[in-house]
Amino acid sequence: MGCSFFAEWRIPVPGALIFVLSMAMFSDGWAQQAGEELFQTTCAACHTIGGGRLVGPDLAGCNEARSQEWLEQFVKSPQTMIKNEDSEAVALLAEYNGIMMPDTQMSGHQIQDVLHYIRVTSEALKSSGGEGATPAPTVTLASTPEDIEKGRKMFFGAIRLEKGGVACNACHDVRHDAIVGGGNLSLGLNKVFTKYDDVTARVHVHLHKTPHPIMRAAYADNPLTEEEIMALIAFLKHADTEETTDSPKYDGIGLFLSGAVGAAILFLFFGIFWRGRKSGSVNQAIYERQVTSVVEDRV
Amino acid sequence: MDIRSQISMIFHLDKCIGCHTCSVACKNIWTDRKGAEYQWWNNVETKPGTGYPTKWEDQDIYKGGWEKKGNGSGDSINLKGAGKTKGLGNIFHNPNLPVIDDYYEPFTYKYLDLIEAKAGDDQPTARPVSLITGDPIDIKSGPNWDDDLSGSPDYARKDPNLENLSPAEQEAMFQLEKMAFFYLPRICNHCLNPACVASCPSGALYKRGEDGIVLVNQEVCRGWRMCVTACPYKKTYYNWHTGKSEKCILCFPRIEAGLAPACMHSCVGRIRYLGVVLYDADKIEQAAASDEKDLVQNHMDIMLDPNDPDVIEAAKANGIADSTIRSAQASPTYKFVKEWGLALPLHSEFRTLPMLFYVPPLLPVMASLGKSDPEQLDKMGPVVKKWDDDWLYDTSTDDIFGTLDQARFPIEYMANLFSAGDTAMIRARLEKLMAVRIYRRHVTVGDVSEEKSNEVLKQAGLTAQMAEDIYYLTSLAKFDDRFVIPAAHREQAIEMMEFTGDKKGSAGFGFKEGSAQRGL
Repeated sequence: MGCSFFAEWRIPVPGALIFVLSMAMFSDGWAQQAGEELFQTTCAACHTIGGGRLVGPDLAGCNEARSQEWLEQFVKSPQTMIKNEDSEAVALLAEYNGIMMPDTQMSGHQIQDVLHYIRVTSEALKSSGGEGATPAPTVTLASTPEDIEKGRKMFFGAIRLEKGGVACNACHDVRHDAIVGGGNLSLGLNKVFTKYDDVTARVHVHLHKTPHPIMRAAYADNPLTEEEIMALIAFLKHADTEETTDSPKYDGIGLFLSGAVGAAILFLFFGIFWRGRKSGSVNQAIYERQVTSVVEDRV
Repeated sequence: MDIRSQISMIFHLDKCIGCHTCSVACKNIWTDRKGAEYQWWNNVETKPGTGYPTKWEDQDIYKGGWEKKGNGSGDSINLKGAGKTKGLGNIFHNPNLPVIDDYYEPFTYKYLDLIEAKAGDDQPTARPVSLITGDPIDIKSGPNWDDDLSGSPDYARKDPNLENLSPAEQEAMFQLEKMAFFYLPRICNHCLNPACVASCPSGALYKRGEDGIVLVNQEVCRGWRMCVTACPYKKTYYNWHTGKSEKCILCFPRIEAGLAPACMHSCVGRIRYLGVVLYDADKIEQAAASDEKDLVQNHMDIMLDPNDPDVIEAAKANGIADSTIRSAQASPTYKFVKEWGLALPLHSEFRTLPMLFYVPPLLPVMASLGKSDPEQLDKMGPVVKKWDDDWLYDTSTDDIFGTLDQARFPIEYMANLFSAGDTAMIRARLEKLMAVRIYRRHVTVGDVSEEKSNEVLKQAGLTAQMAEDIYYLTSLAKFDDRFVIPAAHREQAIEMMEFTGDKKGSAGFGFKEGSAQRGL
């Protein structure tokens, strides 16, 4: 009876197999294409495949170094993994100066596509011996005092950004004597160059094609121009290297003493200015002499 | 000539018995409210004494009134403790204000404890409680704490008006056998040159155009309290509950209805008179800035004769109603101040030109003890009390006005109160009062000859008719003689401020407007 069952299905089986395989092949190719797009828009700002380290690590061969499951989890939410003290994730964070990869907004399927793309590309690179890899971009910074000054003004909004973007200090702070009251919605940009190992391109990435979702949304419709980016980078480098930070000075007891002396002078002045004022009641002497009862229930 | 009308008052101090009925009438009507418990828009003080608030007359303490820097006639006057620059400098501090202990902490008693106390071994008592905090307190003072010379070493001897008297004169006033006092009832003077109005940073105080009553607009007042500092009579008060300042309103709702103010209406001694006077507003500034010796006279000169045709014409041209002019002609104030020259303003040296005038007290009559004449006693009627001893309390002297110099109150003391130190002015008034008394003694008792009485009147500058009129208005006057209240003409006053045509044809029940609240 079972044989008759299979016999009845015998004919469709090869067709179905062909269909399934072709679907698989098609989806494989489609995944490759979608993965590349996603990689370019989402990951390429910070990562290369075989091009060397940019902000984050070179992803060539990562599929061999880590398990697929780990990669999926990490791409989905590196922050959760660090929070859960995944040893490998914590090690990565330490290696990259505490720069944390933002959580992605990609779906699980899209993450698989991207990982697929990375795998296929790195396998291709491996077979070609590293030929054809896109190298990590390099940016050369020509920082003139004018650039620094322009960047400073743009940072706190004295010069408007050309495309109408929000001035940096709305969210960021940089401790600089000339800038007061930066925003604290996001990270301080004080030592940003030190953080990125003094590689201009890594800083440039953040202004050019930021990986951070909120910043990306904020500047989506009004991106910075290349000229503005260079000026801002020049300023940030200056703020970093020149140590123009207003580190609090400790004045010792001098501060307290100057305050005390100032207060004394002020009170002396008040005393002279209002010396003729009426103080207390004219009946005070009489009241003080009066016998008072003890009033226990006075609140 | 800019003629205006002012409702002005006379207090006849010889008639005041110090019963405080005026104060109670006022309190019941106007200040029996939260925040106003300590306020006595009308109060009665014993003189010599320090008054309420304590030492209010001492402007070195309270910095009230106006002061004139130079002595020249051209020098202007400025507020002593308030005004634009001083006011701005002190606006958040206001250092010269009287504190609550300068007035007194208002109190009541827990009367219910007397009724509701449980049966026990002890007598229930009504403990005093503060009307400010509600807590039991020791009563430290009251609005007339120095009444009838009580606590004299602390109060009467510290009367600021004793300042110019020699220690011997002061001592004489407090010898037991010479000790005397009189009462000084005080309300807002509704001054012609009010320091309170000038001091207000918010412009909340104003002097009503039609009758000169000085009022605080409760919707404009911001509680800066500059008026409290500025008023040298300390007759503006700060209501700590509403956060606004208040003062005597001369019962204007009653005045507008033709009724005398409550304090005057209730006065037991009938010491109070009220009437309209016409005055020249152009002369106010000059009079207020005049030299101290001319101050009282210039103040009096502002008031004009309501029977003078020129004055009547100018008054009419200024929109003063005929009924007001008729009231001014019958005004007891005009008679006492101008016609008879009996009344004087209180502390004119504060330069606010107060429009409440006082007839200074003649009492106590000085007398000598002499031997009584049995023949004279026989002449007296059957109702006269005849004493067994032969001493006579003799009030007549050969030199009739000589007794003024032996008066228990030195004339300088009265002059400090009523004439900015001018003793001649006080003497003239006291002589007139005495002359009327001698004249009436001649008429009723007959032991003073007609020649002597006429001579006395002549010396005092009175005629027999004037003496009769003074006697009538002092002793016999009916209600309508004492209070000559002009028709209010509110309709005209309203029309000056707003266009009444808007209301025409829309009369009806209308809508209630929002209640007055502190508009901060």
